[in-house]
Amino acid sequence: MSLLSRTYSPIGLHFGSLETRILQLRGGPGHWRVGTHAVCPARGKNRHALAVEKIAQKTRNLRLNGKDTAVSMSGDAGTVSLVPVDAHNRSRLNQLLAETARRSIADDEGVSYQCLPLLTATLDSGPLREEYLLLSVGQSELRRTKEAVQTIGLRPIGLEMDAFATARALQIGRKNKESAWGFVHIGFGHSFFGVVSDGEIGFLKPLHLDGQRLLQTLNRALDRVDEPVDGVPGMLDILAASGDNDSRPSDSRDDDEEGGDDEDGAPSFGSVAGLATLKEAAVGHAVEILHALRLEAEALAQEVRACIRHFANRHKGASVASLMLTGFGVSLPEVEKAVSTALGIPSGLATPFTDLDIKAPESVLKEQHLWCAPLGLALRGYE
Amino acid sequence: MKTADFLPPKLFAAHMDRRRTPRRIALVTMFSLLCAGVTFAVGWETRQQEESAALASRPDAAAIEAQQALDALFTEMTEYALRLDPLAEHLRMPTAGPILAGLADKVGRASDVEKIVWKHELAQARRSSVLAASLVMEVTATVRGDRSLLELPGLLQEFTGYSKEEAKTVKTEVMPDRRDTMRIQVRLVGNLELPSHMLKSN
Repeated sequence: MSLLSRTYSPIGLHFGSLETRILQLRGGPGHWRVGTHAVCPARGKNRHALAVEKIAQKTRNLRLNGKDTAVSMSGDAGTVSLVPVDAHNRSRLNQLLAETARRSIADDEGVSYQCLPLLTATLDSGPLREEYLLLSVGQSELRRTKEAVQTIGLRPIGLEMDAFATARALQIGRKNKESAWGFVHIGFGHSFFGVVSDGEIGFLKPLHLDGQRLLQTLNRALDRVDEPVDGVPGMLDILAASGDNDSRPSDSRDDDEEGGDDEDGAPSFGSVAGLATLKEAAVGHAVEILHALRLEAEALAQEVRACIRHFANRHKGASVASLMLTGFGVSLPEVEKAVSTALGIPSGLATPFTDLDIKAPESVLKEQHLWCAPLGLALRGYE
Repeated sequence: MKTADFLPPKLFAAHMDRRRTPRRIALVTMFSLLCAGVTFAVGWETRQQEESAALASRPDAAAIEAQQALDALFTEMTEYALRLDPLAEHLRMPTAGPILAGLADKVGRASDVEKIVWKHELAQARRSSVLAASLVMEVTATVRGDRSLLELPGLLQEFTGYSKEEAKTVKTEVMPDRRDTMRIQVRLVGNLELPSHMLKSN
């Protein structure tokens, strides 16, 4: 009977700023376990092609089931805007959204956009006002993503911004689904803050602070001065491990990229070795790091608090009960502690696999906050 | 959770449809297995019934042997029956032996039976057919006293069980040398219940 009821989730493929992550669950709702997972370092505009090239070489080892693939792209591949629409502008809503999308992205092939109505509210001092979440992506980015997925014989079934996949993974694992909660994603090249209320994204906004800037601050605090790469001093280790094709010559790439299986038996395409080095260097320097991060964390907290106030204004004073932290930035030494302290709201690293009781290899469980988007993709349709 | 999908919604809808397919296959398979199970059960029951029917209609060696033994026994018995039939017919005929043996004691102390004469009387419609048969018994006795004289026919009728109406005093005579003694002759008639085949054949 278990043979008949065995279920495989769709393949979740997330093209991140630093890495492409692929994840597939097996087992079925309520007893999921990680079937396939892999991390493939790839950066730059051509990261899709680079990542799928590596994936194609290891397709047999990946043991993927089915072709249906839910894809997400990093937030820095597109833009997210909150568009307020007043009653007198309601008639030209489509025009307004199209103009905003066109202004937000410069792409020779054009711009594609999607919008979600977030709220219809009556302000105390004025007439009806609506808010739309506008997500814009360049057509060339969409083309590259779709072509990359199809190149390795997979069938794309959805293409989202990573914020939605992340929110989905965290929402499914929530015990208390009633109260509003927030999530702060600090990626390498972008960050955003979102609030989920009544099971839907009620607010989403990009943040100024990102992982790249945090890394720079950390390196400065630790007095780690490497050769400047892309104008970001101290990032050499990270970028080397991520196989940055744009910034480093191909013959200098780490041989580990072509490496074999990792400790869990899953194919490995390399690891963020630089991050481990950074963590080792941070040992014994917590005070200096926290001091250096104080300003960054406080700026982030102010931004988040402003967002929460905005959300509360639009939702009759609704409060955000807790915050979950995800992304590359919160993996950096002492960042989680600094951000949590600055926010003043119960917060912690996201642990969706633990919350959902998904059996996963140790390597995945250690980096649950980095696997939120692939997990949300794999669980799409199982909410 | 609502999402902003940059691919057409029909792609995800098609995926959801494909996702349901294994469940459909599982349901159809289970239903097919159920039908196959029921079919197998009905087939098995039918075969059992057929085998039972065939077994019931098949010649049983033991029964045949028993039947043959029974037939042989019947044949053997028939041979004896031919010899036993006249005896049986004879035994079925009414007998007067017990009457003759006990009659002297039943007439009382005042009576002495001198002679018993008995014969058959046949009522025939034609020469070869018998309508009825009767046994006629004439008892001659000496009787002392008037009372005994009067009671004797009744005693004889009661003892023989013959018809009351047919127990009649035929003749009485005084005995010259014995002053209180008389000779009486009583006629008794009893119907004979002959077998029907005897009535026709005789």
